[in-house]
Amino acid sequence: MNCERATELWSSYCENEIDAGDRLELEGHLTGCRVCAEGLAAFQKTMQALKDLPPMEPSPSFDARLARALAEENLRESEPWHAKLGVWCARLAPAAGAVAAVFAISFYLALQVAPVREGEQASPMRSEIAASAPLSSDEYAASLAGRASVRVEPWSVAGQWSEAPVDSAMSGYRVRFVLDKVILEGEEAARSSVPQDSEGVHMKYVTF
Amino acid sequence: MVPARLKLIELRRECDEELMERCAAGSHEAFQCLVERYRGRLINVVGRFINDRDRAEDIVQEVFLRVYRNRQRYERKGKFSTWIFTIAVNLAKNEIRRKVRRRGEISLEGLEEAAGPTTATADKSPGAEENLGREQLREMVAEAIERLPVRYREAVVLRDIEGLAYEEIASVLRIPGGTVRSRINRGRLMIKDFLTPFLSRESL
Repeated sequence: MNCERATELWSSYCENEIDAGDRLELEGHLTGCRVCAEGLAAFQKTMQALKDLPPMEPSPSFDARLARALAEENLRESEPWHAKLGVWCARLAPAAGAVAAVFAISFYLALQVAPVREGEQASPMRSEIAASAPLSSDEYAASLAGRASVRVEPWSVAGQWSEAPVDSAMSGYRVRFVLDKVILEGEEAARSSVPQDSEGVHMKYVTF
Repeated sequence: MVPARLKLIELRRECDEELMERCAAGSHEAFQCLVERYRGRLINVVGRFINDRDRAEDIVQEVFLRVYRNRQRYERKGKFSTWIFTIAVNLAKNEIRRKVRRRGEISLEGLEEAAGPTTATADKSPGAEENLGREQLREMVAEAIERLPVRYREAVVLRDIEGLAYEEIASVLRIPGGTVRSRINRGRLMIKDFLTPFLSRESL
């Protein structure tokens, strides 16, 4: 038996819950290992110190406070159902409001930024939003001043981002902002490598 | 008619599960008997678990309220004591979570390894080794328990403070019996290691 195994048996040994074979082996180990023998002695003293801890008693006011809490509980239980419903509504109102807000924001964001797959109808709402914030190529170019490149994603090929130099990204496109993204509508000369959407418009997303 | 006092004496002879059934049937006296039977044990367990008696009383009050609220749903499948200690340990762990959040020292993911205060109140240098008075020793033992990671602390407290059987600890903590044994042994070893520098061989 090694010291590690001996240490694992200390609790069972001290509580007389060790089986006969392990006891013999452990006692044999202890006779030849001073470190374990001293460790076990300290372990036994530690267990005694744990046993000697005085119990934490309830304070004199505990019963009275519990009785008050139970009386309040009984009062709540005896309330009519509509009063309880009102209490629950009041409790749940903040959570319900938060959930509704998260839904509303998620719905709004989904309409704004979800790419339209090939063959799908473009969302009118997104088109309207895009059209409401037109930006000329020059203005967009100015907003990119100092940048060496932007990340470009083909309109209908999600996930295939690539770095593109600002100049080539701008070449032959009109620019529209949609939230944090920019839609570039392709001109004839640049259309060859850009997929079309269902309305036949060649587009790219560019993110900042 | 049986006098109320005699009735209470009779109730006190009943087992926990019978009392809980009476409580579900509307007997406040039966619930009072359960409170008398468990308040001290629960305050001791929770108090040693979080090392704070005042807060432990609040938690134990909440334990009794939860038992009372759920009295109609109580099913006599397992032991009542297992049920009530499970509630108490869970609420005590919530309290530790709150303390951890307030301290901001450790993430919730690390809760299982979360120990108590990170600074010992006593000087742990070799020169501090001395005979401690009985009261000081108790404080050191309480601090040693509080410094245990939660997974060891809950097992040690249920065993060494409350004296539950290994099988019942396994039910309360919902872990295998072998794991209970190894955690208790490991926890006791940690306490021994914590106490050793403060104590001469004779003082413990």
